[in-house]
Amino acid sequence: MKILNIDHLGVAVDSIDQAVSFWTDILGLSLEGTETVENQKVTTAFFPVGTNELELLESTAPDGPVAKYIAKNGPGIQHVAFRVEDLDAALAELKAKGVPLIDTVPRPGAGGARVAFFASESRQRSVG
Amino acid sequence: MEILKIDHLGIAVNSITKAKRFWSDVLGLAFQGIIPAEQQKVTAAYFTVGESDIEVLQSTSNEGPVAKFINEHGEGIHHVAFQVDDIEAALNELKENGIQLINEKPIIGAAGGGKIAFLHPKATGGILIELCECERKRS
Repeated sequence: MKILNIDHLGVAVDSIDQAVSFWTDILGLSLEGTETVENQKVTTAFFPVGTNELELLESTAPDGPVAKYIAKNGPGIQHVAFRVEDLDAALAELKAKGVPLIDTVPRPGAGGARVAFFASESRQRSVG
Repeated sequence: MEILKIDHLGIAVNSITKAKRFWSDVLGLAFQGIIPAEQQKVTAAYFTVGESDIEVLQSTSNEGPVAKFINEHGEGIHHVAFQVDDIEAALNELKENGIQLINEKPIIGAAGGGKIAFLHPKATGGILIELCECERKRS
């Protein structure tokens, strides 16, 4: 598979409204926009960082993956997203190599992207 | 301050040898080498991903920060490093804004001798953030 770059870092927060000022006023990033991804029960806020992005994640439901992550670990880095050339081929390769996948087929992500999640090794951190 | 990009993601692991199989053999990232960083009681292995790196960290001591992180959280994403153009200016700005720092002054980074400093997770919403004024050669 060909991983092109770090697309974004996903950071779980209790409240995007409360978290935004750290990333904008303190670190000088710009809020590009927000979007709710229903199938993940999450609202996302995107901040460009050079050619990468930072994505804040606020759960829209107590049983969403972000809410469950925060309940277990507290707020923090929830996932890293790698951009690939061909997601279908990448997933087929991971399956062939025996890597357990959270998504065996791509699902819709924020910004019209196709995404798939899996966790590396024993940790439950999502790498999508 | 101006943050230029995500410089690297720090991943805490028990074994660089095992981690290398995942990042290189499974994900196909280019392995750049292993660098000791005794000041932080770690050995670091680097894998290129676009204009950034994955920095895989194995503790050299049970008392090191990475060992303590793994004891508390298990293996996983340890920190994110943002590249800045002027780290002294960035740290001064953060201090003026009352942001708690782990390093009040820059220290020398593990690879390539760049200048780095860490912000305290209490100030960042629970994330260990590293700032670095560094430019590593990536092949």
